[in-house]
Amino acid sequence: MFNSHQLFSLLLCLFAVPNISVASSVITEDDLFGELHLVSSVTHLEQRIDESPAAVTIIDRRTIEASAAVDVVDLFRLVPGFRVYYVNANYPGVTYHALGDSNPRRLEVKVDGRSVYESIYSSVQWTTLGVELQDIDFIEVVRGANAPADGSNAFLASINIVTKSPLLDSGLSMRSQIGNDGIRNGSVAYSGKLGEINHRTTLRYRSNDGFDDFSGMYKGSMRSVSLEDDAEAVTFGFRGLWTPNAKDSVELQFGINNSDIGIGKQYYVQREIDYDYQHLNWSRINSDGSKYEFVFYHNKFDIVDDQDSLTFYQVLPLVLEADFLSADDIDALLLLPDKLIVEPQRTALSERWDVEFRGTFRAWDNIRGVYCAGARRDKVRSNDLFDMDDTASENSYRGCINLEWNAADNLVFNGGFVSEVRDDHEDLNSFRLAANYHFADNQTLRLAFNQGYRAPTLLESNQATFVRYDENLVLAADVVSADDIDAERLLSSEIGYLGSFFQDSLNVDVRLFRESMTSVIGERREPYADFDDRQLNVRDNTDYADIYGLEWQVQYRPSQRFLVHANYSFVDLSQISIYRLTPPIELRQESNTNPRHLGSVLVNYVTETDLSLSAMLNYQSTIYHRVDEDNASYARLDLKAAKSWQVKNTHAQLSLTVQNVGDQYRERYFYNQFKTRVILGMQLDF
Amino acid sequence: MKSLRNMTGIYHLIKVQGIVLLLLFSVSNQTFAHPVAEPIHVSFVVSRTSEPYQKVVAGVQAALFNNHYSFSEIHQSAINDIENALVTADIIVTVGAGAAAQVMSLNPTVKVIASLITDSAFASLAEKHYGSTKAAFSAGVSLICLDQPVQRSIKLAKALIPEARSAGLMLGPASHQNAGMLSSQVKKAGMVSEIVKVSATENPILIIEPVIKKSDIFIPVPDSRLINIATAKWILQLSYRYRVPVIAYSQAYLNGGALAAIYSSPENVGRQTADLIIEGKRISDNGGRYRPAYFSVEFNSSVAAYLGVDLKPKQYYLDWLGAE
Repeated sequence: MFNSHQLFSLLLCLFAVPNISVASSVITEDDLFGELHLVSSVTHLEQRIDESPAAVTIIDRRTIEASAAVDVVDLFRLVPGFRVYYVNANYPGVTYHALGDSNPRRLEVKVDGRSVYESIYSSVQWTTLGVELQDIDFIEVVRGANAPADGSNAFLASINIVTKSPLLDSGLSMRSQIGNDGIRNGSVAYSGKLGEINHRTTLRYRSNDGFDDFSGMYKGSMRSVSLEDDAEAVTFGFRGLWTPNAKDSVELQFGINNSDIGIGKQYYVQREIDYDYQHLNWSRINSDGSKYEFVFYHNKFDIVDDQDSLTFYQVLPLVLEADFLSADDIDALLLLPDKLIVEPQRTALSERWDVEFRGTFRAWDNIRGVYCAGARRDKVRSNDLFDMDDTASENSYRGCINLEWNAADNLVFNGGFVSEVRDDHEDLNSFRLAANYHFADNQTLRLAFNQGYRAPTLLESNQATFVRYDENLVLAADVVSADDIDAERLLSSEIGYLGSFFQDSLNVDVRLFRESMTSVIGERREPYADFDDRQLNVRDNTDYADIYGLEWQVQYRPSQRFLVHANYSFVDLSQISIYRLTPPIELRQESNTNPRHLGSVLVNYVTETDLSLSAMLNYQSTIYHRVDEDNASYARLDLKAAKSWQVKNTHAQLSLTVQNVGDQYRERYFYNQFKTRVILGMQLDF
Repeated sequence: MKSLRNMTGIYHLIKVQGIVLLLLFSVSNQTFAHPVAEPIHVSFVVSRTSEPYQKVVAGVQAALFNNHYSFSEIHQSAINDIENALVTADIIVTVGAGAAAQVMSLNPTVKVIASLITDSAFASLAEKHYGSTKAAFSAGVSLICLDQPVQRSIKLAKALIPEARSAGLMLGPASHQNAGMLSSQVKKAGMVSEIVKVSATENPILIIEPVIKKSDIFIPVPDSRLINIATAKWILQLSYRYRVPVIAYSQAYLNGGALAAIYSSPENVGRQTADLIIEGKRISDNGGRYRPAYFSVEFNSSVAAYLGVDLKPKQYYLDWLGAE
């Protein structure tokens, strides 16, 4: 322990060292060896991957260009443990390890630090992102919970898509893609200056016809499904960068998107989404190298689903068929005047305002940290999801801290904590502890433990989907949320290994993990008192999931021309769901609802004549689904060839991508047939 | 040409081995020249206990690993221990500017080697505690400069891009006054200099971009953390846009996207400090300024591929720079 004299001396020194560096003409060793804040990572600190508290996969430009991806979601097939699937042709889902339903909602997905997870359907509307592969600088995927840095929605994992800085490109870029299944994509991007503001402005158009109609045998009978799952989307985006002085930089992003997509399950409706966002990021560098950051954003989704309107008299024959109606009930119903009970449009509005302040600091010799304080307001409105109320809103506040302690040259400890306070709910406190031990040159072992909570979304805690004649008469009921839904809880632990060999050309990442989830929010089937004890779905904490598994990724880049990325995950899921609480209680085994094996291999070679050749193989093992969903495993091979030319100041590239070479496979439902897709692409950069 | 290079390499190897043998011989002589087997006590005063500081200490200890030296290590905050060391130690090695500040403030009479410290930080401390750098040297304080001469970066740039005609240099407030000297060094290397002087109050992108745009290579000269951090990201992004290679001064810069970096690593500093201790006579009376004798050069092969730069083996560039 320090005596008072030593303590005084220590304090003196802490102040003495900065005194050397504040004079503008004096440089210290800190200036030469110090971090440059070029990228921030898992914890919002600039950290090496082998010192991060979680497993990280970086999908960089080289990988993106090498891949046979056409959509952003295709890239997540390159991340171990990630499953990409299509609920509809233009309604993809992405999840990690488990819980891959129609609206996977336990990943935090950010674009340049702005959460694009919307609260009304509790998921990511991928078609509205407006981010094309060409716009991306890199993607950072944190494999594992990351609540202390990214908030409670980073429950299973988090994704941050970092788009290109306006400084990286200059001038005009044009891209187009044409392919079967009606694929017509085009974009124009311009990087230039508006006064002192460097900007990248983009306009994009995408359309496709979705999957082909299905006609064939399913479960022994002839089935025909007409799939109206086409999509059309137009996006405008602006990203501006202003650096008024050396200390401050301000980034402003805004954009609008209009998407029109066909969604449904055999019966389709046309969904129109108007989406807009505004995002401001101000950062200040202090003379001691620390950094302050202020982030504000607003997202707004305005969703309209076209549907067939219904009047009371149109549904009355169906209502009268119900066997629980007495003769008096029937007489009373027949006396009621006709009126519109199902509107021609189902509307949903989702808005989010979020503000966060972050600061980095250094304490003592070997401790660095970042703290944050943030506030969020979510507001949703719908004419059919919240029964009579139509609207729901919530304010939440959070504070977080992440610390890195370099205990020794070969040992790093990380600790993170976030506390979230919401209106009328219990506070949620999540934390993470990790130790990274560099036991040999370029080889690291990581031990990590995490406790995380995910708060129920506004929809999960407030949904009441009824068809009413008036406030006293419910004609049909679909889903209602239980009154006391708790936050989901995750306890996870992992042992990770990172190895780098042959001068960094071979990188190996292995993760052995266990994830236990309790109070998982799902739906149970119950008689409902307000609905004459008829059955409906009650949203509640219904599921328990316990996962053991192993995943690895290997990245081999012996030269700039050759690249091999491979990954595999084994996930042993035990999931039990409460199907009915009303006696007799019924539990269901859901353990097979996730593939046990997932893997992919990407091989790319660039010839000396700048011809890039790629092959990407994905495998997914069998999944057990209940109704109309397809169980079969599949292996999918994608190929791509791209040739680049440089003619004076113009860069041109022609590419041919063939996705799923060979026989078709089925995506989630038996009628979603992914046939061979051929896409011809062209890009010109002036 | 290739065989000539090989021969140069062999010559270099023989030369290095010769120097090592010579050093071993001279150490042995020194050993025998001290019949009293009292080991020379080297006391390290470190600013921090983190990696670079420990590497310097470890580097010195490894190079002096025999029973003629004994070592102790003191954190700069332990003033009592430092005061004791000033009496008992034969040589004080300060590692870092904070440690040098602490030791120099105590007016030591023992020989002091200030390592892992920049020229400007030392000058500032010398002026504060001794009145001038010269006075500090007279008092037996020696300086091993951490900052590599920009001339080496210029030379490396020319070796990497022989066809380069113009070299852009970014100077922060700490090196504004060196513009003329650096310009003439660029000229000497056969290039035209494009110099941009940045300050904390100006828009960095606005003034750096035009210079990078018209440069064939770009060299940011290290400055205060604020200037380094505030410019590195934009310099690297603009260098990507205009396909201009950046010759940087740190590993972090290199990892961020510079083509090459030339810098004093803690190991380099440790090695030179050990050399200076071994050559004890040279610091027996007066101290002095010692330019960095060793340096590290690293390359970013991804950036080289993007820029179309054909990297030669590292030894080629070390030979070019005249490294030992």
